[in-house]
Amino acid sequence: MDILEKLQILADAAKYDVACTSSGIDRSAQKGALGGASVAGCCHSFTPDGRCVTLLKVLQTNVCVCDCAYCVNRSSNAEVQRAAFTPRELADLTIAFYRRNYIEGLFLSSGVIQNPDHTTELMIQTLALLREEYRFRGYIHAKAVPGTSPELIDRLGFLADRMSVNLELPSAKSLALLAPQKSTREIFAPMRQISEKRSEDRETRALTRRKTTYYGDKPIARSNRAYVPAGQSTQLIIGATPESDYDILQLTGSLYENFALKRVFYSAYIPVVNDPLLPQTDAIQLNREHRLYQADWLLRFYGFRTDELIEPEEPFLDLEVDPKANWALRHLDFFPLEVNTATLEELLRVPGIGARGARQILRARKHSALGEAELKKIGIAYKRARYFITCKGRYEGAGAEFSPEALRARLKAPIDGGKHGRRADKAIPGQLSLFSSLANEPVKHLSSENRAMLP
Amino acid sequence: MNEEVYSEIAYLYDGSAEGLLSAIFSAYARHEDPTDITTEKRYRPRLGQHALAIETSVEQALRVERGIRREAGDPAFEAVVYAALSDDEAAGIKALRFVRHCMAPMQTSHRSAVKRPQRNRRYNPLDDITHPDVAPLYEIARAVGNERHRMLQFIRFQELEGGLWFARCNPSASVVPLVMEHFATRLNVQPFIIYDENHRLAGVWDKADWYLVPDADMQLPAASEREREVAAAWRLFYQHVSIDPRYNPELRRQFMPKRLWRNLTEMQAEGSSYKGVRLPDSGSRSEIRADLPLARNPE
Ligand code: SF4
Repeated sequence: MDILEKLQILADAAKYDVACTSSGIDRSAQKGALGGASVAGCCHSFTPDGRCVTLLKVLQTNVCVCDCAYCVNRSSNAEVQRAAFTPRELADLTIAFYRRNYIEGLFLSSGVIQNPDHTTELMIQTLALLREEYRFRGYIHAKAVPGTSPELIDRLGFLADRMSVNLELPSAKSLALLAPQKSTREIFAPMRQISEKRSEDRETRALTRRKTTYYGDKPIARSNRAYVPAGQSTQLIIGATPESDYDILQLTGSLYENFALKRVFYSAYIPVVNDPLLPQTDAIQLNREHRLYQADWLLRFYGFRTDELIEPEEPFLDLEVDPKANWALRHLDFFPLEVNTATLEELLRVPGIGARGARQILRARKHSALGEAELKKIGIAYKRARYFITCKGRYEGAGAEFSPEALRARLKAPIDGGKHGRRADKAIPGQLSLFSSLANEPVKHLSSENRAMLP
Repeated sequence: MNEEVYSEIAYLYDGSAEGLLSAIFSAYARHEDPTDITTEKRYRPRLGQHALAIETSVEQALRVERGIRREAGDPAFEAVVYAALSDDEAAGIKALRFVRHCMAPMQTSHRSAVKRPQRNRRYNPLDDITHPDVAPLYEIARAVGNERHRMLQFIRFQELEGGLWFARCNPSASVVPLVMEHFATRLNVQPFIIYDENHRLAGVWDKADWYLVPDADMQLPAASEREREVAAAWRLFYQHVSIDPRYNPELRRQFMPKRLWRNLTEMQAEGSSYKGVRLPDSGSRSEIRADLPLARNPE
């Protein structure tokens, strides 16, 4: 099988992993070595579905001994051709792409070939070639295969910038049903290990960085690489199982808290294999995915708590208005805010004012008091924000009644997902026919499962 | 009142950052308030206006640079450099206004009672982004910065026979000078030329230094054998990472503007890799340095 054929098979098999970012680490270039990384990451292309291509995202192999119901690579899927990259082939391809500025680096995942340890060893060989032989300083994201022994995870972690263990299903029950060979314990073990090892590594590195003598102008040379410096992430599939947004955000919140995850990715379920356990709906829940990302963003950058965004009584995010507008509509007593005096935290709560806009407001108002004209020059969505602010004491939202219903009508924003494809608005939540027995159980039950599955 | 004293005057510079800084220097040195500062190529004479060709002087440019950095800080200076590389007709004059604003003696802002803060090391005039002298420049600098970022994303190198790497691009601002450092450090083991076909400017990295060659006359060898294979692999990968049920071409165009597609390997048809042509076809002013592999290896 030639390399093009392998690439085709192994890229196809990897594409359902939506994590594709090269962010989280700054690594300057070094003389004689190839590459670097910048903390903000960089997208190098966009696919016809509008998603960013930043890394060469492939599997080491799509041979797999497991039989997870939702996965194209499941062992019982006879329709898919199997292939495997040798470590050398994959390292060469990565370098060739990198030199042409096609990519920021490699995202390496794999099906389980023979057993988890053997799989991870192959991945380690690939990464070692890149880092040690080619002196590659670009970005590497490696997947930890559940069930791999801790020593191998450690070795992989010193070669990669980011690692991820995909949870895929948002509850232990769904996991047991759809991924019978993976136990939740096996998934959480490497997650925990990476998170602990990472904080340990950062502490020791911080210590060696400190000047220890008066002569020590130069920092102590550190020959070894940092451990997973860009942190770890995970992915959850949305819409394959009946968990609500409430369950998913609860889980997300505890993942950020317990494992210091950098990112949780959400992937709207796309039927790739026929399985009676899975919904065979044609529509994919892209709008739901979109709202979850918005909520996730608020958790990570806007100082929102999970319980502010979603409540068990209304376990799905509003598809009509975004989660931030939703919060504002439920807390009108918090508004209007005077932009010239509000704190950063307060400004971040205003619909239409983003993190960049809020900071610009703080900077600009040091120079002059901001009125409507000035605000329009600042990078905010003034048309939305005006209902929630005053400028120099003047309320600019005139025309709309200051009530949740009236403002909701103004803030309604259909999710612009383009005109193509099998879009989510065709999917009605609750339409899923799977787990008829499960679906009848109260949602509460699943969410307590969620919490129970976290150690 | 200046209009009464002087007839209208336009400054013409060469399109480089040094050129614009020299023009700004002249405005101060000659006590003039030009109504246009633009490049020779873009200049359209106006009635009653005479044009003055500004000679680019590195020494003058450095003096202006020091002045801006001292009075207004590094970000302000960087914004002026970015504006200098913009294709916007009014970029030069907006830059001059901004520089005058930065250099003006401390005063109470006439728009409100808020005092202009003490100039300390943290004074950054760009913070005042709603000020009429600041906002226009800020916008231009941001647009140039965005175009620079697009080039970091979408520049594609090809390997030529003989070991030189070549990238052709068509940015909407002359941003090659702003991306050279990035690519030179990142690809440092690999000599390359980035050629901006819109501004006819080549950036050259010879593994030791990078420099710019305007209106370069170069003869490039053809793409290497391996180049065709790798480009084909990349196209294949590109086709296979897309998820059909999520098809959304509007979103793609928003992130990856169509005007840039023609220089993107993944958007080109098979077999369109670089054939080795002379570039550009006319108007050579300077020669590429002779110690580059391409000079040793002409077609
Ligand atoms: S272990 Fe991974 S690759 Fe294998 S079937 Fe399960 S999800 Fe798919």
